[in-house]
Amino acid sequence: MIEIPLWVLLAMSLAILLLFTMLWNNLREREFRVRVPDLDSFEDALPSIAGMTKAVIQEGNQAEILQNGDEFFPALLDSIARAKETVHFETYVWWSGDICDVVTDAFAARAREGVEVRIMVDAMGAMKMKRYLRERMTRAGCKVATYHPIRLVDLGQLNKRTHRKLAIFDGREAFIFGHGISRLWTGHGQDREHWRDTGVRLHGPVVNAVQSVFAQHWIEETEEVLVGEKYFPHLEPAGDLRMHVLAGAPLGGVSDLELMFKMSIAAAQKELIIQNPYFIPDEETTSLLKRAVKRGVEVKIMVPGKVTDSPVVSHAGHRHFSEMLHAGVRLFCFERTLIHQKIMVIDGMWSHVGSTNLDSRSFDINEEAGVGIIDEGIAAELKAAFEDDMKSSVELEAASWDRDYNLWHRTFDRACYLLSGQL
Amino acid sequence: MPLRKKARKSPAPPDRWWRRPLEVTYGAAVFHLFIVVFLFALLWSTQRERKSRVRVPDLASFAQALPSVASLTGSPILAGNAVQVLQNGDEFFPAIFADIGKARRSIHLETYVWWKGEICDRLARALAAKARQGVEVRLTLDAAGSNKGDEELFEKMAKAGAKISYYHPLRLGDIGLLNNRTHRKLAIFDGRVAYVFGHGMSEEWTGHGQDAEHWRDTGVRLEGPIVNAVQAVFAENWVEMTAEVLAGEKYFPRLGAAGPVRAHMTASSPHGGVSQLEMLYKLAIAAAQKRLIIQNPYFIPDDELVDLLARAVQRGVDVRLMIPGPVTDSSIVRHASHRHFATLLRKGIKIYEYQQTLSHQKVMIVDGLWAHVGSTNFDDRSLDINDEASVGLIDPAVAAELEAAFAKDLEHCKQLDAEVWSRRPLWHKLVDRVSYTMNEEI
Repeated sequence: MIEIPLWVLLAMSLAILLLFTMLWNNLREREFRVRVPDLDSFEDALPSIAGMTKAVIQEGNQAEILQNGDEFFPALLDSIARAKETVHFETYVWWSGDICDVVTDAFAARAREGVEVRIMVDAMGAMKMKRYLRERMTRAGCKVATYHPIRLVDLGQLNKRTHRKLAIFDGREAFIFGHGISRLWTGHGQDREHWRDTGVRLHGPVVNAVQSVFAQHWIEETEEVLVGEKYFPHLEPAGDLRMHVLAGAPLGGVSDLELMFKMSIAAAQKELIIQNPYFIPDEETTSLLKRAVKRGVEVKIMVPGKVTDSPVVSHAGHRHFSEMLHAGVRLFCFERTLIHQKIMVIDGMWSHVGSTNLDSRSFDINEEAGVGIIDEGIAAELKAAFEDDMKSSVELEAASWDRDYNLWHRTFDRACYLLSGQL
Repeated sequence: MPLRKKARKSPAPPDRWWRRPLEVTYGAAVFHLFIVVFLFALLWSTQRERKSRVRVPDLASFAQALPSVASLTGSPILAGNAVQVLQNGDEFFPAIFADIGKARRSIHLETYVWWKGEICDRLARALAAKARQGVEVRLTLDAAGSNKGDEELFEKMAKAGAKISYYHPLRLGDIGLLNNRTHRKLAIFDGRVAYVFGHGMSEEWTGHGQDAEHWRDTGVRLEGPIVNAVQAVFAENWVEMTAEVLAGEKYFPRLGAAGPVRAHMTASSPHGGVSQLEMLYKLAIAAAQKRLIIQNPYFIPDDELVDLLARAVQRGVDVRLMIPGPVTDSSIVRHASHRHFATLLRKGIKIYEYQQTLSHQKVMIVDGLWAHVGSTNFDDRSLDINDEASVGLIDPAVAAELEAAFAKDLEHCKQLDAEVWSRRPLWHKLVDRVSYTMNEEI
């Protein structure tokens, strides 16, 4: 036992209260409800969606959709091999074996040729990356940085990961994708060991904006500022697509990506397609989707079926399924493998490709990156892929969902949903 | 609370109650202390500033560096804008009143200072009248900066239908945000015309900088695609405080070209990292090749900025810095900024003190090609703590106009001399040093 004057105890309690409040002030997300007025066309809403997410729409770009590993990895390896001055790459998952070794060797080979290679991996996501891979790259001259290393002085950052997936070559070509560097992302989504995912390759002025998203974390972790033409060249138009980059860094304020997601649902007029592996709609999203159906929008949402790497997320997502089904939202469970792509297609004219899941972790905690593409051709291509995925999906029906949705399932979902703030 | 408290029976006459000792277990005491340390560490690690050294390779031209400067500060360059430079209150306020009069759908204004005086009354009347006509009026006023404002006036505007949001209200529940103010100064009309400026809403900013009661300041009126970007900056704090999302054509119309100027809008809302505006200032200095002009009321450079300025002179850049002289609203800042003057002068940076009144404009002009106008001071409060907003203008004509204004301001300046400066009395040097150590929070 120890004797402590009362005032010391009071002062300590006060300090705890004060520190806790300050911490909460700095980290809390601000709750908000999206009040979007009804607009005559989705086109009219686009500058608002870009503006509210702190971006502008840039003209003169070109995009190429890359489906699954079979299209993505060859394109990536090809671009790495062709880079002349700089190769920048940021990702969350980077494990070991097979494709991981191939990608590692490609980066190392480029660095040996004198190309500046910068790699940013998330400390948590790359935990399973073997040390020899990293060494192979650094020995060849690659600069490899770790995002938010797990250490005591960064305790407050521990929960905040980079979930961004980016690659930029010579400041002139950019990739935005959902793939991780792991064997799971190779193939063409043929079975549960080969996941389904989608990326996009970009050319044109928008590449400057993607590079600046990469530069944010690079500066934060390495203090190296990337200036000059080899990083940010003056980019001439490369096509006729309009695009805007979405990069969420949600600490403290309102989440840009949540805003993007909710605003685009609210502004859809004809058709809304969503494919996402982690879909946990809150009450507001549910009501936005219901309102969309009422406006006459055809809403189709595809989520993982039995193949998922996170059953808790799936169950948390079920929380509002019954309500949505009854309102006329069409829900599909993809059964062949895990669908990992984060796709939105609206009114056949705007598409989103990126890293953002539709849950609190992506909206409020992690750093994410995506691109909004305004083009009917790209929208049609992604819609065709969705329709192809529908063949491997089971559509949920309100009646049978309710029948199977017994008390046990309901309770379990509710518990998962409560946990969902951190999932 | 995880404590077992037991009052001790004391035979002696009762001491003051708060000094009375309590018996707790060692475990509980250590645990308690641990929580304090833990929370403090958590808070510190989320807030700590990460330093960055701006290492800029020598570039052939400033024009070549511009895409880097804009992209690294999160502000894509947009072509096709019209820019009108507005000097002092005499040009600024009439333009603002004219645009208030013309607005048909929405008026957005964000500012730090809203004090008292005739100009505030006039402004409030004009805004209230528009709100009554059915125009959406939204004001973001910093809770600290508008503390001295007239409550009745705000109420009058609110009653007329204007929406007023006080940024980071001064209350216990938001104590962690107390230090984070919005210093941004913006106005957007119908989503089609925007102002970025240094003026506050107070009598000091009226007139034409003629005496100590009428300050010198600079703003710009913008038309063209850049207005979408200015609106986006306004929307950021608006949605944070009110949860209202601004969506639709009346806020973000599709904007065609309106003039020849390329522009990029930089805003910062620091959260631990290097702020966008710190990056902007440092990159612009590092990339300058010929002429660098800085006019700023609060100039407290850190070591890195001093080094960047010195390197610019070494590269052959003509570096001229104008700061307030005897007329200043913060003498601590003035003294803190003296800390590095000897070094700056020795390295060949020309320093001019403006004598006539407070020069409050935050202008920077590089190579007669790029100009910066906005709210951002050259001190830690602006670069690391506050929310700020500035616009970069890429146009020789705009740069020339601002350079001409600078040349005119020079007539009212005293240039500091390195020799004389180094001989300033010891007490002055002491005050400077103490002020500088305090500068992080000024």
